[in-house]
Amino acid sequence: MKFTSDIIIGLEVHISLKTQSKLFCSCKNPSFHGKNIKANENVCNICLGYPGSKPHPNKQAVLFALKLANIIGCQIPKKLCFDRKNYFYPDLVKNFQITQDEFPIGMGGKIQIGLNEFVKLHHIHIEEDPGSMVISNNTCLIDYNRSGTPLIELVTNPVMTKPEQAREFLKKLIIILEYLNIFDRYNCTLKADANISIKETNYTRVEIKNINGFKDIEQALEFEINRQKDCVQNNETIKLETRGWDGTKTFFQRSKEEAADYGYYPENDIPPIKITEEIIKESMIDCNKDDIYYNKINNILEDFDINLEDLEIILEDKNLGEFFNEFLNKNCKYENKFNPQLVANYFRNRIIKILNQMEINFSKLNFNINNLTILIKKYLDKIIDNKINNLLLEKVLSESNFDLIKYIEENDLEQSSDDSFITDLAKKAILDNQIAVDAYKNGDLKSINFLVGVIMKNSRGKANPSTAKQILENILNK
Amino acid sequence: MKEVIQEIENINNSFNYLVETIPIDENYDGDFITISIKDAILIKNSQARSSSKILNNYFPVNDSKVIKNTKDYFKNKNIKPIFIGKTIHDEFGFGGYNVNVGIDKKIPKNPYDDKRSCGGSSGGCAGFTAKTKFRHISIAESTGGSISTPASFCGVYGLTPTYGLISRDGLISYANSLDKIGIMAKDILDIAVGLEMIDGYDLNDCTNVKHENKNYVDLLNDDTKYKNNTIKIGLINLDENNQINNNVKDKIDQLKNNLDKSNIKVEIETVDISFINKYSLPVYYILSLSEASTNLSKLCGLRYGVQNIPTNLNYNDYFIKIRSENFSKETKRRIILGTFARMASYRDAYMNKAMRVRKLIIDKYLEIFNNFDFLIGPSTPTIAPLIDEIKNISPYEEMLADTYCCCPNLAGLPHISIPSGKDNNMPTGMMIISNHFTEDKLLWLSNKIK
Ligand SMILES: [Zn+2]
Repeated sequence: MKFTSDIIIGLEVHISLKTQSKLFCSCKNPSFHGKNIKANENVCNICLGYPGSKPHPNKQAVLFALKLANIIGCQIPKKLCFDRKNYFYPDLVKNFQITQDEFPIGMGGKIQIGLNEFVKLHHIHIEEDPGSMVISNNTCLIDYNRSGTPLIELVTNPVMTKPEQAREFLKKLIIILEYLNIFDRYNCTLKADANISIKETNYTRVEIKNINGFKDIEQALEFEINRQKDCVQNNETIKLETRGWDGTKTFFQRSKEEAADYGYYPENDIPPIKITEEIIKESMIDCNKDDIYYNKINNILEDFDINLEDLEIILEDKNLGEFFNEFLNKNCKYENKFNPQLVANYFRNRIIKILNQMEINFSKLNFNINNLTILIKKYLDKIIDNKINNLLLEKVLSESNFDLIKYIEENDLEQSSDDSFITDLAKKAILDNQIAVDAYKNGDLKSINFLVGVIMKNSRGKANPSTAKQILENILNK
Repeated sequence: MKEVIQEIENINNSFNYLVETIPIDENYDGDFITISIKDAILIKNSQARSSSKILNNYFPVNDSKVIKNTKDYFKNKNIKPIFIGKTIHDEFGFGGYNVNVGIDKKIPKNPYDDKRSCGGSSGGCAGFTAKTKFRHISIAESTGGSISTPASFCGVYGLTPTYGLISRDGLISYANSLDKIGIMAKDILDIAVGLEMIDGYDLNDCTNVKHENKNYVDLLNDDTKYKNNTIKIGLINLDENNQINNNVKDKIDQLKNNLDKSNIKVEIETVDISFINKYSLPVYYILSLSEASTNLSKLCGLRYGVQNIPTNLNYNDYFIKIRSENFSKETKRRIILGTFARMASYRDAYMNKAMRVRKLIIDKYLEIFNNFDFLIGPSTPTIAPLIDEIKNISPYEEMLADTYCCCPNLAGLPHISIPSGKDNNMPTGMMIISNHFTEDKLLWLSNKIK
């Protein structure tokens, strides 16, 4: 095998879907309903695998998988088939996992991680999640609430060459999944197993299991690359092995010299189900080409002059992106009222910053969106100043019954461009600050900013600073 | 009801047919029909072990679909179903002679000769049906012959429906692409009643084929569909000249007479099914054991059944200990063979090839059913063997009990075993096979043999 790069990375990503119920029974899916359920209380005879129970597949999960397969360009088979993957483990109720082996729901496909950058996939398939185990003091406790919840496993080709590329991949994958409305980063989980090999070890493959999220994947891969390079320098050999990741380092779990034999067998309790054109259409019912992240970014770039990185960040949240797009179309397209880049700046530097501080997703907010539109316009029109904007923005986003216009009126928060009001303040500022006035008159033009500051302070932010500056200049240059 | 309760106790003491009894209201004095259920089929709150001690103390939380259907069926009828108990069978259905009992129960005996086998795996169903003097329906199950063989050995009627007609929800799986719940009874009328009562489309079992329930009882005597056609019957497996085959031939003559009387034309000829006979048994065993080995992997002493928790062992050693101590030798043999057939380096040679041949066998049958309405032959090649002799035969020879009846089982075809007479004072059986989902036709023809 000949590789063109010094580092080869492939990922297997397990994505929990936000379906209402589990994959083969009608128990609640914690990825949708939340995880506040007592251990082993969200279970039934099917997801506990009791003898006599039979699985029946969840249509919503299949539709979600079909939607993803379709959007990322997988080849979809004619029939939906499930297989049993056999291995013994206490969190696996039947000691086999119902998964897809020979005919996964999507072959091939690719994930777009930049304007012109793609990662090719091997396949995606549907499978059930096992329960969860807590091990402490040599004791093992098992909670089966998660048992039987739907996962998509997405397997990339070994085509990534840098840890940050893997990070970017996961980051963009999460966005794409959220755009399709089949995943939500707060309730669902996304875990990756990474295969990594470097040239110096003749590309001996090491697997790192169970890495949570995109920040850890970069760290884990960087750590592992350095570890392997150190081993090579110390003349230690790297073996085929599986390693874990504890947040700071990778550690040995088991040797992979003997490949596990899962004795796959068709899941005959679920006979092959025909995948018709109708069912594929049904899966796409709430979804179109514009629901692809980069398609949306491209559409905006065609119409507006905005920095790509700003767009990527604003459109990370589909709902925020939609609001942004709508705002641009209404206010920047034909009327040319606002500079689109200034609008983007407001979204990135104001809205997203406050959302991050509030630790909340835009789509999770319960607020009156008209308020936000009004506030953005007032800010861009320089009717309210920076500080007041921050105060109002937080109120707008967090209080659903907030009456913005009334609040601004009652507290008299709009900046005034009223000349006589500002002229009075300017005259007072000149009288009170003779030193600054003298400095200005002696050529230190910057000292006028000091006087503007005094006006702002005395007006409690209400004076429009550029009007104040102009009036000051008029008086002083007389 | 006291008489019923007394009879159950007497039969069980002498023949060991029941592993679990269900309390009966002894003061009930209306019309009733007693019903027994193979242990592998769940009935709420009654221990279900599939005759294996690894499932000791497994008390199901729900009725299986066939039990629910049965209760519904009798709801508006003036006859009450009395569920009497769970019947013994070979552990998980693994056997043709019911000598492989995995729990602390004695081997059940043949109702005609207590030194002989009652057949397996649904031996308890057949034995009790033969022995009780009350009207009785037994809910049995067949994977590769577990209804036909015991029905034939015990001289009762045994119907194995088409795979996919009767819901498997609540049936402890042996081989899930082959398991079929069916009916045993003392006459063809109660076979029809039994089929009506367990039938009913079930969304919870994905292998259950969507269908309307048929009125099998009414259709038993309805000749109209058959008046204008010639019934074509193919004879199979009758080459050898012995008493079992002679009994079948006598029954065929009877059948012919009765059809003549009803003015229904019939043509009878011999059909060669040597291809089916040659490959069915090996294909059946490879596939059924492959499936059984995955179906049984859930039994590990962790969530139900036998438990020994907390334990100091790690999970692997714990599973090994529980499974070593609680599975019988035959079960372990089948798990090992089935696992082997699925392994990466052997699956092409065994599992995948067997799946392909199974398809060919089904195609062959369908080709035959293009030209024939029924296939008729003996149910089993021998009468019920002596229990002492069975102990000395090899596992392979034991598998030969299913030589004839594993073929329609493998193809999921409906078939019925009908008492055909005696050989050395022991009952013999005749098997009739028809095309998929033609149970009404199968029962109609069976009703012409009297
Ligand atoms: Zn459940």
